[in-house]
Amino acid sequence: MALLEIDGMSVVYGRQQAVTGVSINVGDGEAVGIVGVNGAGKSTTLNAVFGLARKRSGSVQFDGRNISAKTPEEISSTGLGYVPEGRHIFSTLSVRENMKLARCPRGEFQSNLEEMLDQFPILGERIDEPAWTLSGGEQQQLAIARALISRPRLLILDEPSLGLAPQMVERVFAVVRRLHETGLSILLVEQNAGRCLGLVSRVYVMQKGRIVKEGTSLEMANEDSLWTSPKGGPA
Amino acid sequence: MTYFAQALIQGLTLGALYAQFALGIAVIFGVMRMMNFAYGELIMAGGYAFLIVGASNPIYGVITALVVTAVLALILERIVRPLRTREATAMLVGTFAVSYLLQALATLIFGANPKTGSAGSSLLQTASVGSLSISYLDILTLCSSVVLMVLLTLLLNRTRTGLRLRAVAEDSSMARILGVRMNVVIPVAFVVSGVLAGVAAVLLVAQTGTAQPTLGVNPLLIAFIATILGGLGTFRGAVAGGMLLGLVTAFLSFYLPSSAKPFTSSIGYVAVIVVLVLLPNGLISSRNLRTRV
Repeated sequence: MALLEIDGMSVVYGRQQAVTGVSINVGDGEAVGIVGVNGAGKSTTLNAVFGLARKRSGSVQFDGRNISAKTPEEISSTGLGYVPEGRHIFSTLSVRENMKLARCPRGEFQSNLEEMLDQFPILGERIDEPAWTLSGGEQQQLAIARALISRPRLLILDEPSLGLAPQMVERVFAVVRRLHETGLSILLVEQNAGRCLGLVSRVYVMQKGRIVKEGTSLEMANEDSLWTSPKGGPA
Repeated sequence: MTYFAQALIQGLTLGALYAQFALGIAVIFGVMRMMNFAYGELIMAGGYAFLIVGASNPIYGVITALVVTAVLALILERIVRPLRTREATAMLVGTFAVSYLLQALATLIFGANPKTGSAGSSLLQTASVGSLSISYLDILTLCSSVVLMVLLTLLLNRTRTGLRLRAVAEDSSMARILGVRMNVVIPVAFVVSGVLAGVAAVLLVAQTGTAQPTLGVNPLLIAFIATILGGLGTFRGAVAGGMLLGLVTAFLSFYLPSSAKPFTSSIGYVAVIVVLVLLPNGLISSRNLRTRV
């Protein structure tokens, strides 16, 4: 059984159909990608999974439980971690305060924090500094560490490379790869198909709010349509 | 020099009161991005509670005023809660409706004419320091403002609830994704706002000795102006805006010629417009939006 199962989900913003009948599943320990150009409906799909966009139809199951009608606050306690597009760190709070906000079982925060600081040493060096003073790459690491501190079973990342210098992108993807190697399930949304295929085992391609193709990374690497965009994103 | 010092004392006292008005608005705006038009009516309700109960025992009067405003603030939160997911104007209209309802209720219960009482009148006596004079009420206003600001700072910076309030104020969607429960955090903000309204009500009624259904209209207007002047969405901005507005008003009323004194408020508000033209985001910008690559 899939860990995350999105079945026939549709999302409407006002009068506009943003996502239509999307079905995606992620197995336990699997890394899955969603690629598509800007406006394809990738982020809307993730927002709807997290209860931030209203689903018109379809269902979302996580670990066998239906979370379709749950609020974001409730979903955060089911074992889903989310790093949204644009990082959304709390810029006026310190690194430590950002980490403290994540839902963490009582008494486990300090040990989990230390573990995160081992994985992301730069955060340890700047633990009491306001988050806005971090570089883009460091902010992305903070966003990932903050999502991981509650020990999720599935980490959802929306465009983690967006707005980062190439060196920082390398570093962030190395972190995500390392996390996946420890057994963490990953759902990665990316415009950059090349980077995505290098990390995941299966890919869904979205266009105009629909899934238009799906397959293994190997199969999709040979899909010409995936490489026609100048940025390496799908046409 | 004495005249200047007296104007400064008056300005600081007025500014401290205005800062309290503004903080009550800023706390709610910070977490909900909503202008609470019923805030003035919380002050009005607290004013009546203090006037009635405080006549026999001022301490009981203060406690009653604080309880009444905090409870009313919680009720207001429950009323606007279903509107949170609607457009921002829905909440605005909701608070408008509650404001008119509370004013109408007050008129029905207490009548439209001002109700007078002696609650807190002993505070109007003045103390002299050299050639300067300051009323006990002014001292209480300054002290209560300092205490409230210290308590608010401690709440925001030293407690988990405060951390959540600050997070919601900055990015409520992300706070929800991390598990911050809005139905817990927002009522806390309303209670804080209610308590601030309660203290403001006590200070206002102690000064005038009257309460009427429109008691909160002027403080609400001042709170809005001070909040916008200081920078919407920041607590420090609300305090800065309130203090500046109070100081400008006091100095104008001291230094303008008598023929121009009726225009004190107008001139003060023109000064506010000038500040906003020069600093459109107010004295303190709402958040640090610096991003780095």
